[in-house]
Parts: sequence; structure tokens; C-alpha cells
Amino acid sequence: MGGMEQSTDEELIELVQAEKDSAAAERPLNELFRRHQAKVASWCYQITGDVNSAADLAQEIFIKAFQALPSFRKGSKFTTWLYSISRNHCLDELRSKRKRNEELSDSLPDEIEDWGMAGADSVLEQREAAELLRQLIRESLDETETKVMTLHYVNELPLDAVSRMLGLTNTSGAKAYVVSARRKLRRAHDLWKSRNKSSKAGKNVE
Amino acid sequence: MSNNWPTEQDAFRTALGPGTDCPPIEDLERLTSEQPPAPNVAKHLESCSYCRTELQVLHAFQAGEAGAASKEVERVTELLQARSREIVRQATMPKASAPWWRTAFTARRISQASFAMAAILIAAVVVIQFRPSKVRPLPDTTQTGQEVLRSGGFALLSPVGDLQTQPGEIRWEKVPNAANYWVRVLEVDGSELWKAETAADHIDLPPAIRSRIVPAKTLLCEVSAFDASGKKIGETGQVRFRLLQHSDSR
Repeated sequence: MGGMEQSTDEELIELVQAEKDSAAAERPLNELFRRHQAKVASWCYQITGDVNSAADLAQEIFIKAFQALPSFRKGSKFTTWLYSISRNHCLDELRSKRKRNEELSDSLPDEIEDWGMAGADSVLEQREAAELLRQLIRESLDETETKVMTLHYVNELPLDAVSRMLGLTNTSGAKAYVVSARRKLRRAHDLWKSRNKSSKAGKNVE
Repeated sequence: MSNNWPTEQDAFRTALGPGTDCPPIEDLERLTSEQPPAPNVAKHLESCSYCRTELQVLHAFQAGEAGAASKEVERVTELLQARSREIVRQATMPKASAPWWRTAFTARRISQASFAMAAILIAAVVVIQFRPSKVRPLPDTTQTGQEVLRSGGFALLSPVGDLQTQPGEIRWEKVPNAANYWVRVLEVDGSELWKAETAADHIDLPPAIRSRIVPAKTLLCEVSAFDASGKKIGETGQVRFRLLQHSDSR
């Protein structure tokens, strides 16, 4: 590699940017690829759980990243940038796959819990309801349950991908954490409702 | 359950999603890698499960952790390695090397080109009409004595920053003497999601692009203004925007 092993990622990128669209850019690109292929491969496998799909996704990510290198901003960290690309690309792929196959096959069914949001038609009521749910999450869930719920519900990752990503080795993986989290939250919510009811009743007596 | 909050999934998504004070992952990583981390960042992390999760996943990515699936990851890496030459070849293949006519005759390009041609024709008519009187200014009733042709920046009005609702259009300051504007929406890595051309100071986002504006994903938008001769006379630069999950901050 002619000393390129010693260069930082950002120095290699500068070389690529200087040699844009020329064969000379291949050497720093090869070095960047060598350094980061395992990261991207691992990420893609965690998302897909399938060797061939992961290799296809990883290939697309590297092409996308390398083609976008001219827009890489100085002062940024390459691995964070590469992560953003990998994350966005994989999540987009999951979304379009989901659109093709309708819903996530491993999604747990809704359990008709209103979380105090029944009739929460105004923005203010919704904010209050969201804040209540956040408070219940903070008070009732442990760190792993919270992370599992975030990755599954916010990032819309399938449960098996969440299990791989967080290295969950229990039998049912992330699913067990979601079930447990929802049970805890329901219990905490019931408690909150009964407390709220009795405090209202107390006020009425006064 | 309210119509605006139809499912339990939506409730969790809203409660666990990013708030207005959640920084983009690039900033989060930078701020937390400072020693010691800024107190406000540490405080934010303590209370924000979304940012904690994002940071953990980023660190796992950077460490290249394969966990129990290391054999499978090795196989993915081998497959990827076998394609390395092709990847680098495709990446270094100059984008401009594709013959201009190949991209010029796609349906989208033709519609864009027709707008441009219309603008150029109108401009040409105006120029021919007023050519003999060199001192006579263009009949622009909105122009005042103070206004000057800006060669630099103008403001993108929306979408900008953290958004409570999905944007339906892009709007910017009108640039004097601009005949048309090029609008681009980009991923944070600079790859282009959409571009369009218009003579107005706003443009509707098509449904296909609106569907790509998903919560927590930072996107960039830029607008360039061109005069009737096709000369660039201003640009907004890349402006970040991001759709939030919920309207209140933590």
C-alpha cells in the first residue's frame, strides 16, 4: 500500500478527493475498504440475518459512500459518516421491503392500551400523554428493554435484527424484552391510573 | 384512542423517538468523545434513551462487533472482499463519464429541460425586445433603488432545522433577476434524493420524496438561483432539516 496503512481515514479521504475520478484514487479507496469492510459487513448481517443479502447491501453502501466522498466534510469522523450511510441505507431498504411485504412479520400485535391517550385530541393532551409514557418508561424499564423498544419501534428494526444488534443471547431474543417491557408498562400505567383516580376522588371529598 | 394516535406502536414511537434537543449523531459522537463531555450533553444523555441507544449502536458499528454471528459475518466479509475490485471500480467511475445524452433523454430530464427551455425562450424574448435601448432597465416593478443583484447567498425559508410536521414544499427567498431555481434534496452523505427546477420561489415536494422524509433522519436541502443567461447568481448552501417524532422536547 506504500505507507497508506499509517495514514488516517481522513488523510486517505483527502487523497481520494485530490485524485477524484482517477485511477490514483483506487489505492486510498482500497485501503479504506480494507479497514472498514468488516464493520459494514457485520452491520448488514445484523440487519438482514442473511449472508447474501448482507453482502449485497454492504456492496451498495461502499459504492454509495465512496461516490459521496467528495462531499465528506473536513473535521467529520469517517466511521461516523460511514455509519450514517450504512444506517440510512439499511433502514431505507427495510422500509421498502416492508412496503412490498406489507407489515413486519414479527411485529407483536397492538394490545389496545390507550396509555392515557383516549380522547387525547388536542396537541397539548397528546404531549401530556407522551410525557406520561416517557415517565413510565424511565421508571419501569431497564436499559436493555428501553433500547430494544427504541430500536424496534422508532428505528423500525425487526426483532431478530434487534437481537443480533444488541447481542441478546436469550432464547426468544428481543421479543422477550418487548413482551416484558409492555407488561411492565401496562402495570405501571394501571398503577398510575388508580393513583390518579384516588387523588381526584380525594380532591372531590375536600 | 385518538385518531391522531391510532396505535400502540405510534405511542411508543412518539415517546421513545428523538426530541427537539437531540443532536444529530455526528454531533452527539463528537460531543461525547470530548473529555470530559460537556455537562449539558451528559445531562441530555442521562435523560434521553433515544440518544443513548443511537450512541451504543454507533459504537458497536465502529468496533465492528460481530457477536455470536462471527462466522456468518466472516462469510459476508469474504463475499464483499471478492467484490472489492468492482466496488472501487464503480466508485471511481467518473459520474460525468456517462454520455450526457444518456441522462438527458430520461423522462425526468426532459420535463426539467422543457422548463429550462421555456425560461430561456422567455428570457430571449425579453432580451431581444429591450436590446436597442441599452440604458433602459428591465421592467421589474419589484426592484427598488436599494436592491442589488446578489451573487452570494439567499435564505432557504423552509424546511429548516427540526420540524414538527412533514414538509409539503420547499420555500426560499426570491432572488432579484433570477429566472429559475434548481432545488436539491440530499442525504447527509451528499447523495442526491431529488432535484427539480422551477421559476417560482417555492416548489411542492412530490409524495415519493415526502415518504423519504422520515422521523429522525437528517436531510439537506439546497437551492441555486440562475439568471436568464443561465449564470448562477446565488445559492442557499446546504441547509439541514429533520422531522421529529413528537412536538415536545425532553
